[in-house]
Amino acid sequence: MKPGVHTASALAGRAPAPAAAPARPRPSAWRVLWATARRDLRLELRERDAANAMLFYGLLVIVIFSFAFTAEAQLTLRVGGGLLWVAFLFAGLLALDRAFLREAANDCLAGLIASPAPRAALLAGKFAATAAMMLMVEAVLLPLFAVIFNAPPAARWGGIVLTVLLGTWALAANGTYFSALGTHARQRTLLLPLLLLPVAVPAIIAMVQATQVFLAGSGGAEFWLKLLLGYDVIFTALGVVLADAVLEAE
Amino acid sequence: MQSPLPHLALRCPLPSGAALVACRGLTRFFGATAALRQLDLELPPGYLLALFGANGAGKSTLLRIVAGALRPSAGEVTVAGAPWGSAAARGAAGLLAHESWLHPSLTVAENLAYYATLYGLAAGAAAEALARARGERLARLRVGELSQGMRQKAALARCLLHTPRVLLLDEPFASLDRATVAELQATLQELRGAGLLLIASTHTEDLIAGLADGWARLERGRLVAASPGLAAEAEA
Repeated sequence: MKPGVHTASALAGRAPAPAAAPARPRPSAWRVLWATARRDLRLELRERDAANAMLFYGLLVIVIFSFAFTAEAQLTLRVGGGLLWVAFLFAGLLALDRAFLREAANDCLAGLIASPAPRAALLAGKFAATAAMMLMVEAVLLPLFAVIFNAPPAARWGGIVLTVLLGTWALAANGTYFSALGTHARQRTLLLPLLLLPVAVPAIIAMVQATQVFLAGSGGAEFWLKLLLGYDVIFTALGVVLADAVLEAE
Repeated sequence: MQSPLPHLALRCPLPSGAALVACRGLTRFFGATAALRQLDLELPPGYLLALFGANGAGKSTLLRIVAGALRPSAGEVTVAGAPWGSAAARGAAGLLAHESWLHPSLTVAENLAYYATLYGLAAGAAAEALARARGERLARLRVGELSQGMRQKAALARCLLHTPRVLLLDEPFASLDRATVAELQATLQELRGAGLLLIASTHTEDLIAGLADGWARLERGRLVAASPGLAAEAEA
């Protein structure tokens, strides 16, 4: 054997001594979260591919349903909650689809994975940006819905806004997770709703029911709001715990 | 039927007994296809290894695994003494990949500032990295508007941002003109002189020949040849 050269078995017997590594800064989870959210929002502001499509789709749903149903307060009481969430949900799917598709350009996802940044913070940053985008579009669609469907004067708008916040949190938390999971899938656009919607059923029921109660202006929605909050906390925690596996899924 | 390949272990004589990158039994599958099979190697700081091999030989797979962008199927990998997947290992390596890993809709400075946050660095690190990659004038340009050579410089700045101890280069000279190649060669020489371990995969052997301290050839995921004094027959 040549001097200084060892076989594989000799290598296996002696672990290489680690080279003295200089102290390296640890990335802060909060800074990574904030930077990721800000970067995604900046990208959306420049490209506008998700926001425009979301707004268009949401408007389309509301306008088409307004042709089908007459703008009567009684009818709004019966179908308004479901109708509003159909518009929000499908508009939201467009934002969720873009959350990780955006990283396909120049293989940016590999750069995120190869960095020492906490995976949970990366995922949380994506969640924050997506939720913010969804809320911005919902802020436009909600008043339009109220006008077009002649929302009852007794409607409790504070409650509706709270339901929208909790419901958007639920969809964005779950959807970001599944969007990351489907990054490398060939049928990713189809895969996202297929994975998300069945899991989101309890949250969707709670959103629709709570919205109906608040539109009617009477009755209690505590149960539905608690269910929604519980769902949010559980699925956010799951996303944090499973972030490593989700981002490195192949 | 394919002929059996020699199976070599690659180890550079280590002046201080410390390997900066060490792989033992490194194996990677894509589905049923083995991209890397039982790879053993140890490489020291201040060394430039040229990695040769045909398309699909496993060069890019090896570099992506060492960089932390791809999970090994089996075997052990340590980078700067830290186990694969740890924040310390990821923070010690930088990969100049086929793609720049920079978003085309952001400027070079915006991309680098984001990466600086991911590595726990101050935003000022971006300007320093651009200077080291000789790309100061690129800062305000959007990545999507850069030429191939400019994009390579910006990507190199991204790799050098966190002052890695191991720089991995996947076809660094591909699609570059002569002047840019010469500039990149000078940068690589400087980095090796500064004590970095560089592993460069390339098809254009003449462009790296004068720079490299040693070479190795991969074929069907196995190490089949290497420069004198660098390899030994591995035991099954």
